[in-house]
Amino acid sequence: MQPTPDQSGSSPIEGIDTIDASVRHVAEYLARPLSAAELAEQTRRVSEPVERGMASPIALLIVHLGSERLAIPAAAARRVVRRAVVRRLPHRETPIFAGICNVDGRLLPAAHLDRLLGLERNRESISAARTVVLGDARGDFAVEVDRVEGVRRADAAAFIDPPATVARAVDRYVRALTEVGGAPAALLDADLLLAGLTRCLQ
Amino acid sequence: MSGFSLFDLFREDAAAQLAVLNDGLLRLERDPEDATVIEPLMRAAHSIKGAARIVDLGVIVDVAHAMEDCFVAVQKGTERIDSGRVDQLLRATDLLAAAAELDAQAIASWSDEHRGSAAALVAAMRAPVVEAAAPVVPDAPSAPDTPEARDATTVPDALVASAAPAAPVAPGAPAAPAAAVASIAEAAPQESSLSATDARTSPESNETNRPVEGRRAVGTESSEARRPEGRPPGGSGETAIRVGAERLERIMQLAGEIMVAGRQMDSMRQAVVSIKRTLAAAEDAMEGIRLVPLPASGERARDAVALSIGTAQLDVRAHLESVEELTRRTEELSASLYNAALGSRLRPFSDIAGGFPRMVRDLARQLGKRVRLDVVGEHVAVDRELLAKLEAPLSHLLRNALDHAIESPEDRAAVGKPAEARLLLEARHHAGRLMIRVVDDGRGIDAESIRRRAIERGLVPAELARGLGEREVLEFLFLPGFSTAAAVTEISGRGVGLDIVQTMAHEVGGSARIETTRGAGSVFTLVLPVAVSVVRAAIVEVAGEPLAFPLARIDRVVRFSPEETSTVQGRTQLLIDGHSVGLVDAAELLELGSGDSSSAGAGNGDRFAMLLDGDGDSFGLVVDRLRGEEDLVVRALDPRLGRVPHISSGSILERGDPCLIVDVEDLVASLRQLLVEGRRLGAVRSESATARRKRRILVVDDSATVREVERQLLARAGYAVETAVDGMDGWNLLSVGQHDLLVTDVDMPRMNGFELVRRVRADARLRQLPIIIVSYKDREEDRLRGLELGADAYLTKGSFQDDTFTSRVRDLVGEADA
Repeated sequence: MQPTPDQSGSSPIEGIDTIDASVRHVAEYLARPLSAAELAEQTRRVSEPVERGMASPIALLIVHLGSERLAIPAAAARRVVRRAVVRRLPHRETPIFAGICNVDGRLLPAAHLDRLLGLERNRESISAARTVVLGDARGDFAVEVDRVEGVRRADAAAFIDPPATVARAVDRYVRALTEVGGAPAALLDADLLLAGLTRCLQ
Repeated sequence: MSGFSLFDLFREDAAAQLAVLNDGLLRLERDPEDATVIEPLMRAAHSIKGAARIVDLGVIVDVAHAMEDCFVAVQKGTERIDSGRVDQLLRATDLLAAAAELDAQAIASWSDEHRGSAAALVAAMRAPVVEAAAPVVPDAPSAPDTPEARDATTVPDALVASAAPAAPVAPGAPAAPAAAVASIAEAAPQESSLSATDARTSPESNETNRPVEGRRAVGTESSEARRPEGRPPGGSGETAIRVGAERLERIMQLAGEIMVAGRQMDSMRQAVVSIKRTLAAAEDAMEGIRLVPLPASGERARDAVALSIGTAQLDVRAHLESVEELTRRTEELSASLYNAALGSRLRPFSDIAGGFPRMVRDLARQLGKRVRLDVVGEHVAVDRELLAKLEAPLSHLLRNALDHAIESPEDRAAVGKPAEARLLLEARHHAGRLMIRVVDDGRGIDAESIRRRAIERGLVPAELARGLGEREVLEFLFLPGFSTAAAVTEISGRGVGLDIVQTMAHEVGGSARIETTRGAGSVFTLVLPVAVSVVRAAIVEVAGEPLAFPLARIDRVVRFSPEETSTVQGRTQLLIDGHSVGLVDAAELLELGSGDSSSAGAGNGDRFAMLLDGDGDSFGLVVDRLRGEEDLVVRALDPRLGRVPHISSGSILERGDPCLIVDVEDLVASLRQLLVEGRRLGAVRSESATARRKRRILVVDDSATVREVERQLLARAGYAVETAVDGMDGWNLLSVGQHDLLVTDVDMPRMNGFELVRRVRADARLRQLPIIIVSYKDREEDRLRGLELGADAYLTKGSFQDDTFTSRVRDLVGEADA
């Protein structure tokens, strides 16, 4: 066991002061003045109408992929991490299956969500790109999105049926159209999505 | 203590004591004079008795009590232990083991069921040791190999019935439940209620026995259950707890991630170092202008800047120190955590070896042989997964030795060997590998009879066989099914099922070999990696992707420039040490197209050939870059991925990226086909991909009959077939499935075939999908329209009559197995 540092007097252990200093740095970081962008984001969040009185509230992960603003039921979104490196599998190159990637020490199959949905990625904002782990009882998948907006609440009772036409690939996976946080979003059917991802493995 | 019932505690307690009992009894049998073994036995029985009382297991209380009394009597010198008594005590131990496996709910019914046999056993243990009946040889001439066989041949029905629920015996006692049953049967002669049915007794139980007195000892009753001095099953004396393998795996993964994250702290440190340098440069610059005359305001500004720089330097220095301290600490801690997590996969060899002495003893008694098994290296740490794989082969080797190699006491005496045969099971670490030996002093293996048999079975031409050395001849034993039960005696046994031993060794990257001396015994040696879960590997880059080659499987790595290669009969060759080695490009073989990152090779155009050895041939697999060596923790690939040809598993590199570990054996097989047998790359790939998915075809037709006809034709040809009832349905299926071919009708509701073809050709993902239109419309204009839209073939439904349809399918997508 390490002796506990003596708080009152000078520390008998070398390094304690410097560790204290690093703790101070963290405290200072947390207390730093917010940038205009951070302030704007916080303000926007606070100014969002309180979701009281929703008939059936549902938590949605809002992501951006190409020009689409997509909503994924939060229950199916297991994890959001920085863009994980995807490694291809020999003999397994297909348009949708991308390979495997490491998320928190787990090797997960990775798929091109953009291609599954027939969307064109936004290549400019590569630093905003995130890896989202989607999953259900069948298992987890890692997919990449251009940006993650965050988890928002929406009222399932206010969902609008998508148009019956299935002109684009993405339409096949859209369960409803909805408004989340003041902007429209296409709610993806998690079950269909995972079925699509699962099939890309075979 | 929520979640743990008293019964769970009983179970854990009993499990620990059972190992003490089993080990102690075997030691006692071997050396009845060994006084040191009695005390732990007494305590173990006592402890179980106390624990059983708490959970109200009356049957067990009685049995444990009788055992304890036996031990007390032996300790006081009022009773001498013999094999018959040991049989009873072992049988009692089995009953305890069975009880320890119970569910709390099952206690009552189990107790009822076993009350009778337990009472008989208690009576037997309390009865004086009597001289046993004349020894009887086992009923079956050749020892039955399976526990079931023993059941059937030797165990009285009543006993089978009563002992049957005693499902798994204690962990670490691989002797099957039926084996325990057999020993119950053997113990029978001394107990009137059991003796009539089975008279098998060991040859050595004809010692003089002394009457037992004063069996009820005083002074050992104590309500306090003492911890035994004997070893718990783990063998290390620590308390063992149960942790789910999955959770342990998760801890491993997270510990690995912490280590990766810890390494990234170093980049933070480097950033601070670079700031420090910048400040030092600023200070130098200030020094340069320190004496430059300036107006007063300028001087004040200069002093202020100098002061700021000085302060910043002090701050940075302090910060750097704390960052360095934290980095070092984090690295140390995360490495320790990782190693500790990794270490939790290791278990002592005794985990599996602990049960062998009992198995050997029971089997030896059954066979009428006298054998002493010594286990050396019980504490040697072995990967849990490896241990699990080792259990069956080792048990097999020991059984083989007992069955076939070790002679009867009479035969041994006749050749001047001690009546008691010696078996040695030894585990030790040697040169970074785990070495396991099974040594017997039996009759050895007759290489000549193996040689004859190999010739008889046409495995090798006679003249070649005659030229083989003994060692090579013994290798035949490892061939699957080389010797059958009928051949056992002819070749001194030892051959049955040895292929499973070698298969297991190869599976984990080890080897197996046999040495034998006729008349003096044999040595089976397994050389295995210490951990199947960690492998040292060379990391190479192929088309931008890192691939790991286990070092043990690489002959060497050669750097070469493309000019050094020559092309012979269309194949690239490289001259290495005077030998011409065929080269194959890894990216081509593995179907890895050029990736995102450049795969330019070693900068100056040099590339690397991994020389892989396959049965004496050397093959070169060309890779782009050599990244270095790493110890990788092997992770199974997601089972949803199925088998990936040429890949055995995955891992995570030090810097956190995923990486694949190649299956060198599989690669070598493909390389051989390419370079030696001269197959084409495509053929080799499809060969190596036999386990790969079948070609998948989507059939779209609104007529159920046509759908079914097409489905059957294609299924018969081996394809995987999916069906859709109209264009819209088909389009939806295409979007989620991976199909290799679309077969569609034209006239369909909702979306017709032409529209479907048009959409497929307009879709970026599906553009390449081969399409066959099958229609009743056989007008030329329809045909042209279909082909114009992008169909690859336009057939009429008449094509089902002959093989036009299936052969067109084959032309477009190849054989069913991709």
